[in-house]
Amino acid sequence: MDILNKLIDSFEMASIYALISLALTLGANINGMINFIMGQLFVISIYVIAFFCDLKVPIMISLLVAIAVCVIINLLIKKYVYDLVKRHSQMMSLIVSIGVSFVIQDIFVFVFRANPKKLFYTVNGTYKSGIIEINYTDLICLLVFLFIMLAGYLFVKYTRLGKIIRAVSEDSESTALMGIDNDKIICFVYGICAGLVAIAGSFFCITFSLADPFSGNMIILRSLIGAIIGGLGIVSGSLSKSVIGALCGGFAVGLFEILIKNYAVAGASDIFLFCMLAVYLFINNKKFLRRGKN
Amino acid sequence: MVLLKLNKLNLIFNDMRIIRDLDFVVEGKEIVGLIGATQSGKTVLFDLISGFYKANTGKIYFEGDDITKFSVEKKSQLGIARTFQNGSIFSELSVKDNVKIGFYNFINYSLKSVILRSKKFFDEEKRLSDEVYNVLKMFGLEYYENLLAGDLSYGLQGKLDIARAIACGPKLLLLDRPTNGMDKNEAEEFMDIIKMVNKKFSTAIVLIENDIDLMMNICDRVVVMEYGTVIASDKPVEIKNNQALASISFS
Amino acid sequence: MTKRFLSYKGLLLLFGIYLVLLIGIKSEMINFYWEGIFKLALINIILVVSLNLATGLLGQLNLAHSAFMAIGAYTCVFITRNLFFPGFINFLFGLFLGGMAAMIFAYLISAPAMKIPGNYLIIATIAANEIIKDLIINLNILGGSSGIHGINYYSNFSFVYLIMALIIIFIYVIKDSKYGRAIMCIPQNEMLAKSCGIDTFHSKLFVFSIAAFFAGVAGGLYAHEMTVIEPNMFDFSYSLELLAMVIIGGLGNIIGSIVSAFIFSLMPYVFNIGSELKVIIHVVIMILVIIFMKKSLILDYKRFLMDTWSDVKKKIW
Repeated sequence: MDILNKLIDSFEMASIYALISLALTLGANINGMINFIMGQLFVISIYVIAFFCDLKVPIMISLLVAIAVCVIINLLIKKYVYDLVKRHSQMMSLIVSIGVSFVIQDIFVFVFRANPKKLFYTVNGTYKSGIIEINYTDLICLLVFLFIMLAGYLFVKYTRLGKIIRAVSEDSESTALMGIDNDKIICFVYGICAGLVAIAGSFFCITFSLADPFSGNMIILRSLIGAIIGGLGIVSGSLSKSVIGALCGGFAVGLFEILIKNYAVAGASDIFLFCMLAVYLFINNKKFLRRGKN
Repeated sequence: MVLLKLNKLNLIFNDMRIIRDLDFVVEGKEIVGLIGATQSGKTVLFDLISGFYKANTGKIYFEGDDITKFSVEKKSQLGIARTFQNGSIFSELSVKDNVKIGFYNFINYSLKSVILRSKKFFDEEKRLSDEVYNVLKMFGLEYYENLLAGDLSYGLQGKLDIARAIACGPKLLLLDRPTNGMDKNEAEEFMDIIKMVNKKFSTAIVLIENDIDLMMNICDRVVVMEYGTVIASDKPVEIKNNQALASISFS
Repeated sequence: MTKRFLSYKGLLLLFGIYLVLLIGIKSEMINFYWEGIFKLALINIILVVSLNLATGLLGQLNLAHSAFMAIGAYTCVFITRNLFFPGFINFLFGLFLGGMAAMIFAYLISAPAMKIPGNYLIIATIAANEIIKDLIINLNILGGSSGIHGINYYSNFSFVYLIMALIIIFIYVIKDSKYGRAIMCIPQNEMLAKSCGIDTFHSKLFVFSIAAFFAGVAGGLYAHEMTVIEPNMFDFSYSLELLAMVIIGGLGNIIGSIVSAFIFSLMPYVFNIGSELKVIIHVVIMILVIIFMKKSLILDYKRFLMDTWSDVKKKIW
C-alpha cells in the first residue's frame, strides 16, 4: 500500500509532465517543430501566478493572467522567430527554439538576479480526503488531467475545429489550397499549448513552496521524453491518439520518477529516464516519420 | 551479350506488392527506354538495381554475377552508375568537384599518403585534374568549372549530371527522368548527348522518360511497365503504335 | 578557399600569428589573465572546428560535444594523477587517452545517432550530455558535483597553440583530398554520394569519431588550464554555445569557425559582459544568422556580402 501512496504523491508532478507533454506534442504536430520554450513559459507562469497571489488575487484570476501572458509570449516568438526560420530544416527550428529558451531563461535570471529562488505560499491547503490518503492537490491535479484528456480527445476527434486541426497537422499544403488559414489554426493551437503550460504552472504553485528559474530545462526534457514515449513522431496522422499518448507518456514519466526516487538510487532518476529514452529510440528508429518527405 | 538480367523480382513494402515478378534484360551497349504510368514502379526498379532497395525474392545478375545482395557502393564499383529524378548533382560543390566525385572509385591512394602528402598523392591528383578537364570539355562545361553546381541552369545541370555519372566509364547507366525541367530544345540536345555517350563509352543506358516521342530516335528498345511488372518490350515504333497500350496514360 | 591554405602561405599565417601572440606574452604586453583567455579561445577553436566537421558531415546538428569534452577532461585528469610517468609525459598520455575515451563513447552512440532523424538526434544528444553529467555527479571517484580541484597546470601557451595548429592542419590535409571531397558531398545529397561509390556510413562514423577525439583532447587541455573542473562546466548549454559559433561561422566553413570561435571567446572579456548576457548575445546572433541565411546548410559570407552588395547597387541605380 505504501507504493500506492507514493504513486499518488507523484500525481502533481506527473500531471505537470503530462500537460507539458501534450503541449509539446500538439505544437510539434501542428507546426513541425518542437517548441522548447515551453519549459521557460512554465517557469514564467509560476512566477506570474505567485506574483498575483501575493497581491491576494484569487488563484483562478491569477491563472487566467498567467495563461494570457504565456499565450502572448508564445505567439510573439512564433511570429517573429519561428516563422522566419521555418524555411530551413526542422533541426534548425529546433536549435533556434532551444536557443530562444536559453535566452528567455537568461533574461529571467538577469532580471530576478537578486532573488533566484522565490518563496511563495501554497495556495489551496492540503486537506486529506477520506479513503486512501489522497491529498486535495493530488486530487485536483488528477481530475484536471483526466478532464483534459477526455476533452482533448473528444475535441480533436469530433468537433469541426478539431478536424481542421488534424488536417492542418497532416498536410498543410492541401489545407491551404482548400482555403483554410493555416496560420490562424497554428496560432490557435499554440495558444492552447501555452494555456496548458500555464495550467501546469498552477499545479506547481499549489503543490510546492519554492521555485527557481532554472527548473525549466529539466522539466521540459522529462516532458519531452514522455511525449516521445507517448508516440511523438511515430503516431502521425492520428492526432487524437497522440493526445492520449502524450498525456499518458508524461504521466508515466512522473510515476516512473517517483518509483526510481524511492526504490532505487535517489539522484539517478534522470539517468534512468534518459537511458529509457535511448533504448526506446534505438528500438524504434525504423518507425520514425519524416514530416512531409519520405 | 547480356549485361544486366533481372529475374522474377518481387518487392513488398508495407504489405503492398510494388514490384511483381519482374523480368528485365539489358544487353551491352543498348539504349533501353523505360516508360509507364506514374507509380508503376520505374524509379523503384532503378532503386532495386542500384541497391537502395533489397528485393524480397528474385535475383539480379550483372555480367553473369549475382549482385542481388550487394551494397550500393559495391554496385557502383562494378560499373553501375545512376542519376536521380530531382537534381542529382551536389549543388554546393563546384562543377569541377562534382566531376571529381564521379571519379571516386578510380583514385588510388590511401589515407596515409593523404596525410603524408606523398608523391603518389600528388600524381593521382594531377591525373584526376587532367581527366576531369577532359570530361568537362567533352560536355562543353569547361568554362563553368569553378561555378557552384547549384547556380547552373537546368540544362547545364543535366549535362553535369551525366558528366559525373560517366566519369569512370560505367558499363551501365541508369537515367531517371533526366530532362525534367528542360524545354523541348534542351531535351533534344540532351538526347544527342546520350547517344554520343553510348557510342563513345559503349555504355548501356536505361532511360526513364515520360515522353515517348523523345525516346523514339535513340532507344533501341522500349519497355513498358504497369503495376510493378513489365507488360511490353519492343521497338519504339511498335510500342507507340500499339493500340492496347495507348490507353495507359504516360505521365 | 581550401586548397591554397595548405600551401606555404597558410602555414606561414599560422606560424606568424603564433609568433605575434608569443611575443605579446613574453614581453608582458599580454598579461597572465589575458594569456589564459587566449588559451581558452584556442581550445574553443579546436572544439568549434571539430564540431563543424561533425555537424556539417552528418547533416545533423548535435549537442553532445560538451559531453565528449567532459569525458576527455575527466579521463585526462585521471591519467595525469595516476600514471607513473614523469609529469608532462603523463599529460601527453592523458590527452591521447582522453581523446580515445571520447572517441569510444562517440562510437557507441553513433550507431543510433545515424539512424535517428535530426530532431530526435538533438534530443538524444542532450540526453547523452545529461547522462554523462549525472554520471559524473554520482560517481564519487570523479569528484562528484564539486568537481576536481588542484589539477596540475600543464597547458602552456605554446603547447596549446601547437595542438590547435596540428588539428587545423590535419583537417585541411584531409579536406583537400578524395576523402575530403567525399565528406563534403555527403550532407548535400547522401543517396547520390552512395551511388558514386562512397561508403557514407563509415565516412560519417569516421568523422564523428575524429571530431569526438579532438573534443576529448580539448577537454584535457581545458582541465589542465583551468586547474578545476566540475560537472556544471560541461552542461549542454556549452554545447549550444559551440553550435552557435559553428553556425555563425558557417557550416562547412573552417576559417569561419576559427574566426567566430576566436571572436566569441574573447568578446565577453573585452566588453566585460557577464555570463548570462554573453549567452544571450551569442544565441541572438546565431538566430539572426539563421534567419538571414540564404542557403540552408552552408553559409558563404563572401557570396552573402556579394549578393547584398549587388542588391544595394540595384537599388541605387
